[in-house]
Amino acid sequence: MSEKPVDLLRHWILRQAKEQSAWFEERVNALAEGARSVNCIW
Amino acid sequence: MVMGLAPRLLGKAELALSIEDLSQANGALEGWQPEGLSIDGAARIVALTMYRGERPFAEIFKDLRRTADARELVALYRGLPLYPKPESLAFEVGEGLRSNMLGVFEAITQHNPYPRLHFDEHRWNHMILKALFVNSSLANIVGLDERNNPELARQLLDHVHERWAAGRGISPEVWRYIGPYAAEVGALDEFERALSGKPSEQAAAALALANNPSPQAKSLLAAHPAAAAKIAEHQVEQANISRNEVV
Repeated sequence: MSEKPVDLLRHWILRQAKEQSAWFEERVNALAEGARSVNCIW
Repeated sequence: MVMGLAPRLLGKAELALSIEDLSQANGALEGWQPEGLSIDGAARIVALTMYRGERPFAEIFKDLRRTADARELVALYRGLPLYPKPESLAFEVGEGLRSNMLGVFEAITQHNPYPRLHFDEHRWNHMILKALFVNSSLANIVGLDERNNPELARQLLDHVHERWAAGRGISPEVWRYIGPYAAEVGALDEFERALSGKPSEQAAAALALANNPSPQAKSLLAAHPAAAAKIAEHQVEQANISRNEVV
């Protein structure tokens, strides 16, 4: 079964981000908990 | 601002994508090819897909569009097919199409399945004509054959007339989209002229006619045996037809 496009993007970012991948993963997980304002996203 | 730090922390390099990655992208969403997307742009897109607030996403998009710099605009528009309720972004997409920044226009039109999925015929045709006007390749627009229509063929024929009247060349790409309706829109004389034109025009016109099963198309192509032979011998393929040689 195909992955969702956004999951693919996330995978590629993590693969390339290397030492910053933890930062990105942490931020995305926090957003997944409830991103209710654009000010906390962009 | 979760992703405000993305350019500094993740960098601005393009995502490094293999052929397999691109194949996966197309498998996940037909026509989606994220090549050329920057890593910080990709991060912003991922973050935006997480939005679950009460304000409609289209309003969020509008706020971002108004304050974004050029790079951010490109990222914002490249994410179109991935956002929640993409059909609600019609007005915002129109603003992007009207942009005088080629990068923004192409973020919507190139390798992006959003137009194929969400544009009505009027907007689709307008996009194709603007692409020609700004000398942007048609080849990377997703769904061109599927969304082709007689009204577009008529408009492209008008475009051909205008360019020729002004002594200008035309993109060989246009013949492919007039071709299926060549007799219907009265374009046989124009095909005749193209078949007697520059090699790139001849090839594009011949290939378009070869894909039209009507007797008129077959007869016209048969009258140009050299061009017909190149098609029959596969010396000319659609991938070779580009906007090159437009004057």
